[in-house]
Amino acid sequence: MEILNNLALGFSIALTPQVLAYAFIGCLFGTLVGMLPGVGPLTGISLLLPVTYGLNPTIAIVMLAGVYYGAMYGGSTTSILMRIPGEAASVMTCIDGYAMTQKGRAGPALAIAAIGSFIAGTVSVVGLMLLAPPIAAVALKFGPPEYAALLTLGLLVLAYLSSGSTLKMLLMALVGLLVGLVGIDQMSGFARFTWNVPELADGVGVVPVAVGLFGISEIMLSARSAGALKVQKPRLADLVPSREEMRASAAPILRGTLIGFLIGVVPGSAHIISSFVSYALEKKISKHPERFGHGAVEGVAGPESANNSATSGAFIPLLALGIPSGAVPAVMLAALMIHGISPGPQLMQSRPDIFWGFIASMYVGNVVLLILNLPMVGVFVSLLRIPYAYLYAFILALCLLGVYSTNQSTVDVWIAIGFGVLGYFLRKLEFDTAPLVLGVILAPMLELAIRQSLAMSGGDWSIFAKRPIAGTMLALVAALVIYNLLSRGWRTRVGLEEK
Amino acid sequence: MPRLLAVLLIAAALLLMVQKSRPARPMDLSDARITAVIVLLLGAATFALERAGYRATVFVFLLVVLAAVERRPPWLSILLSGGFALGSFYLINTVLRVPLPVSRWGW
Repeated sequence: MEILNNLALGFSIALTPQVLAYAFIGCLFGTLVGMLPGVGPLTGISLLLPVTYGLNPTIAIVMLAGVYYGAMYGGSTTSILMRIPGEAASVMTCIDGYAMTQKGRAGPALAIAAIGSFIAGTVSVVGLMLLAPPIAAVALKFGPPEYAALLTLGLLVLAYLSSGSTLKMLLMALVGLLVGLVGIDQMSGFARFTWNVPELADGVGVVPVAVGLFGISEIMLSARSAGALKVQKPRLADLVPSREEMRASAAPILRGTLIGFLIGVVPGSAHIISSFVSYALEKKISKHPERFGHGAVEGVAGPESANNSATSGAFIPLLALGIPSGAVPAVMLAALMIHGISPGPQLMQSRPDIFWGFIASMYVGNVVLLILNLPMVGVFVSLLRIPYAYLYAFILALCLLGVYSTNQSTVDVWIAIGFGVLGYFLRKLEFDTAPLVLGVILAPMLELAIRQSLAMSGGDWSIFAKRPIAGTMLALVAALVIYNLLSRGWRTRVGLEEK
Repeated sequence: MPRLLAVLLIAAALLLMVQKSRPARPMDLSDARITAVIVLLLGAATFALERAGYRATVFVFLLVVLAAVERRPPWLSILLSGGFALGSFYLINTVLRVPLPVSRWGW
């Protein structure tokens, strides 16, 4: 009953014309950034961040969340019509989505992707609504040692679950943690690694780092591939799926929703991993796996539902614990902090308007996206006819604008350019830069939690082992490291190590 | 904590070097020229931003990228660059009241 009352409060906020308008703007902008290659949800949110300064925090978070799940919707359009994933989570949709387009079934593929995304988005918000309050209640019992252990475990799990080399992920997370320590020491008040630059006293912001690593470096890598794209424009009448396609999609949508939500809660590039897992599962359990890759509608329905569901799941650790589970929630956390809001277990009590307004806005946002995406798909894909030479010039100008206006500081812009160059080389060397961004935002939290724990114990490190929750989490950390070392050693011995 | 992180970072880097059994592929730097141009232009724009003001800086930045680097029609480049510089300034600075730099000459 209490949940229903809270939800009613949320809808009374989310359905006000002003919040609706900003949710619409966020969804529209998110759909565009999801469609355009080179601008993912992270860059989109970072660029829109300055626009939210003059808004109240509820509206700001509603608009930024709209960008996040709007990008998930938008990414599927280019994947299906042109085999170009607008953002990484849509890679799996390319395979069967584009094959359906080649068979003249682009419309139904888009419709199934949108319907699956809508169902997954809506169902996963119910999960978020039901799970976040009890998790937050447990988290109220957490002290600094538990938070330190949880943050360590989260970073490690991120490194293990992301695609690519675990060691490279850990390296990136460590670099991020080091960058995150620049600035005034929170306990002693001394300036660290500031090189007499006053602007660095507040630390290196997550926005310049994210825009540099994801926005500027992406432009550097893709500017040469410029050119107008050949685009198919489906008509509204072509969008209706057949009864057979609807029937075949129902179970994959439900499975994708569940998988996406569960993976979303775990730290990592949730929306990307969930779509890969969903596709693999659908292929594995299919009676006709040979159809996958040749236009199987299940290969569109599952991954698209999973990546949308994962976006809601990813908000659970952020809202309930105050801990971002990936790079995008990390930037959302930064956005809330700029507005003076600290997400975490207290948020539901201290600012129910923000928490429940946000939850309700996600229901509304999913409806907005469905209305926006299906009838307007032709308009959106027309944008892709714009030559990339124009697009990248304006994206660079937006990067400049977005980073500068965060703190009105050119130092931030220099930092973004520096991280752009770093990101360019890191991506050439096949490093995933998402753990670096997460490290930057988690570093101050982790350091504060460790030092508060040591202050509590008079410098005795065994406090982390003596407290049951912290001890269990650190035992999990140790088990993960030992398992990885042993399995690597075993694989090397039997010659299975990657050649 | 920074020292602990530095030690872990060095250890992880050494482990990565040891693990790399396959020979590293040469890095594809075919896009190095455009990357250098982008870095130079962004650097120049950042230097000019608070001196020449947002509108002039972004106008010149976009004009150089579109007309000189990408060789797009000059009239279209001027129109788009001017439109973006003025439009974004109006939206961010005037409507949303997020201050953007203005030159000492008032533009």
